[in-house]
Amino acid sequence: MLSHLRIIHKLAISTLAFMGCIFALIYFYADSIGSNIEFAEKELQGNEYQSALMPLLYDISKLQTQHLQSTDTKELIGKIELHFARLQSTQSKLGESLQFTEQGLASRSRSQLKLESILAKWKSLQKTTEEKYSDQADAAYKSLTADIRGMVAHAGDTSNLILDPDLDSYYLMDVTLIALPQTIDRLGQITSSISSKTILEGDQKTEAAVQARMLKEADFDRIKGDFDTSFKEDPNFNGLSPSLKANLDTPIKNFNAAYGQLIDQMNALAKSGSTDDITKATATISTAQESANKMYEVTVKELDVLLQKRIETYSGQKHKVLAACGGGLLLSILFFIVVVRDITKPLKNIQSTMSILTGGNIKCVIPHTDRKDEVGDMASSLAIFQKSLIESEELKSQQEADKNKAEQEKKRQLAKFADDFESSVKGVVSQVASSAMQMQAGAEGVTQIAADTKHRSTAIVNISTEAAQISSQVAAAAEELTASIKEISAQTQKSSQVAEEASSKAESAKQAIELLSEKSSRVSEIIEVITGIAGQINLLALNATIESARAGDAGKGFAVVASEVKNLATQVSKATGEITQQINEMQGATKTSVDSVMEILGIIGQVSGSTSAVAAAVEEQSAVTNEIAQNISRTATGTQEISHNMVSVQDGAQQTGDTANEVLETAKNLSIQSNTLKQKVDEFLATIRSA
Amino acid sequence: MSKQSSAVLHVSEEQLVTMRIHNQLLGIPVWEAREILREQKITKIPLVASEIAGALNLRGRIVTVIDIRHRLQLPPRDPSVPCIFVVMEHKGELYSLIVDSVGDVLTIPSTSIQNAPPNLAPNWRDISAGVHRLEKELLIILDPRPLFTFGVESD
Repeated sequence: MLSHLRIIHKLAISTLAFMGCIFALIYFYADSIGSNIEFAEKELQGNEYQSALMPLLYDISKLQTQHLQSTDTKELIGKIELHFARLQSTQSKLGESLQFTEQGLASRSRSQLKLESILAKWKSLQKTTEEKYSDQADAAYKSLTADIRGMVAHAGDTSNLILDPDLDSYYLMDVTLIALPQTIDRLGQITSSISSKTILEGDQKTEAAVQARMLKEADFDRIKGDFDTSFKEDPNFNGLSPSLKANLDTPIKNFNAAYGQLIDQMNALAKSGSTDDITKATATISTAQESANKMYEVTVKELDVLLQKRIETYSGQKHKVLAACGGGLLLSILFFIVVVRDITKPLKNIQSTMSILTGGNIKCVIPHTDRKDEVGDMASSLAIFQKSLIESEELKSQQEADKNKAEQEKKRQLAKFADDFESSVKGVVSQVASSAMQMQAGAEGVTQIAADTKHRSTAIVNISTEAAQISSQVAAAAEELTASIKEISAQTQKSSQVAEEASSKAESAKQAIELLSEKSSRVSEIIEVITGIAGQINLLALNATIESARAGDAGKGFAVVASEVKNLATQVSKATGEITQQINEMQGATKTSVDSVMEILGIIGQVSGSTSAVAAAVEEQSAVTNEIAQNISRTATGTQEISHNMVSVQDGAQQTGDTANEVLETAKNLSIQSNTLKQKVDEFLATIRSA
Repeated sequence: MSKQSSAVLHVSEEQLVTMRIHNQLLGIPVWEAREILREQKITKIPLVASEIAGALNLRGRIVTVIDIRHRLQLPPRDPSVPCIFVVMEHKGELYSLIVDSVGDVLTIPSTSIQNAPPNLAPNWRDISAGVHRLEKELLIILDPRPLFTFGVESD
C-alpha cells in the first residue's frame, strides 16, 4: 500500500504520526499540569471550607469561657449563628466537592459530622447556655468542638490539603489544619478545667503543669517550627511570596508573646495553684485565643496566596508548554517543507534526467552527484549507469563498424573471387580463341595442300596423256625402227625421265598428305585441351553455383550467371565433339589419299621398269621387234591406268579440300563461340562486382 | 534481413549438389558442400581407418579424404578413371568425399523429401537423410555427418 504513495505523502504520514505521538505526550503532560492545577484548586476549596470552620471553633471556645464566667453570651451566640450561616453557604457551595455528603462522610466513618446533626448539637448547646455551666454542658462543648475539628480534618483530607506537595504551603496547612485547631481546643479545655476553680490542688496542679508542657511542645513549638520551615522553604516553591512574611510577622509576634506569657503563667500556676495565678492565666488564655485566631485568619489568607501562586505557576507552565508545542509544530512544518523540497526536488531532477537518458540523450549532465545523501548515491549510480550506457553505445557502434568491415571483407573476397575467376576463365577463353585461330590456320594449310595435290595430280594426268601419245608415236616409230634407233633410244631415255618426274611428283603428294594427317592429329590434341578446359569451366560453374547458394539471396544473380557459364561449357563440349568427328572423317579421307598415292608410286616404278626394258629391247632391235609392239601396247595400258588412278587421287584431294573447308568453318564457329563466352564472362564479372 | 528470407527459402525448397558413386545418384545439401575439386594428388596416411584414403593440401589447409565406397561396401574404384572430390566442412575440419562424377545443383521442394525406404541396405540407410524420387531414378540425400566418425565400426 505504501508503494502507491508519493514520497511527499509518506514523509507527511510519518511526520504526522511522529507529531501525533508528540502531541499525545504533550497532551498528557499538559493534562498532568492541569491535574496539578486541579489539585491546587481543590486545596483552595479545602482552605475556604476550613476558614469557615475556624471562627466557629474559636467562638465556641470563647462561648464556653463566657458560659463558665456566666457573662452575657447573646452577642457571641449571634456571631456563632452568623458563622453557622456562612458554614451552611460554604457547605452548599463546596459540600459536594469536598465529600461532606452522607456517603463521603460514611466512607471515612464520620457520619456524625453531617451539618444537620452538628446544627442540632449547636441548638441543644445553645439551650444549655441559658442555664448554669454544668458537666453536661461541658460534654456538649467538647463534643461540638471535636465534631468541628473532625470537619476540619475531613476538609483537609478530601481537599488534598493534607497531601500538599510544596513545603511552604504544607507547613502553613499544618498550622491551619492541625496545630491551631488543636491549640484552640486545648485552650478551651484549659479554660474549662481552671476558670471555675479558685485554687488548684494536687492532681490539678500536675494537670496544669502537663497542660503548660503540651502548650509549649505540642502547640507553641510546633507552630513556631512550622512557620520557620515555611518561611525558609518559601523561596524554593514557586518563588518567594512577598506578603507571606510581612503579613504574618505581627500576628506571629503577638502569638509568641501571648503564648510565652501563658506558658510562664501556667507553669507558675502549676507551682502555686493560687487564685491570683488562675485569674492571670484565664485572662492570658483569652489573649492567646485571640492572637491564635488572628494568626489563623492571616495564615489562611497567605495559604490562599501561596496556592494561587502555585496555580499561576502551573498555568504559566501549561501555557509555556502549549506555546513551545505550537512553536515546535511550526518549526517541524517548516522543517518538513524544507526536507520535502530537499528530497523531492532533486528526485524530480533525477527522474527527468532519467527520462532524458531513456529518451536517448545519453550525454546529458547528471545533477546532484556532489550530494552526500541517498539522492547523491542515486545520482552517482545513475552516473555509473550513464557511463555503462555510453560504453555499451560505443561498443554497439564498434560492433556496427566491425560488421561493416566484415561485410566489406566479404565483398572484397567476392571481388577477389571474381578477379581469380576472370584470370582463370579469361585465360581459358583466350586459350580457346587462340586454339581456334590455330585450328583455322591448320585447316587453311590443309586446304592449300589439298589444292596443291589436285594441281599436281592434274599435271600427272597431263603427263600420263602425253606418255600415251609418246607410246603411240613409239608404235609408229617402231615401224621405222631400223631407220632411227638413235631416235628410239632418245625417246626411251625421255620416257624414263618422265617416269622419274612422275615418281617425284607422287612422292611430294604423299608428303603433303602426311603433313595433312599430322596437322589433323594436332587439331585433335587441341580439341582434347579444349575438352579439358570445358570440364574445368563446368566444375568452376558448379563451385560458383554452390558458392552462390551459400551466399543466399545475395548470390541469386550469381547463380543465374553460373548456370549460363555451365551451359556454355556444355556447348563447347558439344562443339568439340563435332570437331572430333569431322577430324576423324578427314583423317579417314587422308588415309585413302595416301593409299592411292602409294599405288601411283608402285605403278610409276613399273613404268620405269618398262622403260628400261624398252631400252634393252632397243639394243636387241632386230630380235625383239615384234615384242616392241606388245610392250608398247602394255605401256599404253599402264599409262591409261596411271591416268585412271590419277583421277581418283584428284577425287581424294577434292575430298580433303572439302573436309578442310568444313574444319575451317567449324573453327570459325568455335572462334565466334569463344568470343560469346568471353562476353558472357565479362557480364558475369560485372554482375559479381556490382553485387 | 537476408537471414530471414534465406530461412524462408530453406523451409520451402532444398538445393542439392548431385553426384554419382557406382552409378548411384546421391545429393548433399548445397550449404554442406564447400568446394568441388578435380582429382587431386593425395598423401596416404599410415595407420588410419581404412575408409580414409589420405589427405590433401587445399590452399594451405589439410583436407581428410574419405573413400565412401568402403563404407558402402562397393567394389574399390578404378584408379585410372578420373574422379571428383567434394569438399565439406565439419566441426572446423575439412573433409572430402571421393565420387565418380558430379552433376548439377538441383532445387527441389522440401516437401518432396521422403524417409529412406525400409528396404534400403543398412549401411546406406545410416548415411541417408531421405530420398527424393526423380523421373527415372532415386536420389539418395546424403547426411554426411556419420561419415566423419571413423574407426568405430570400420572393422
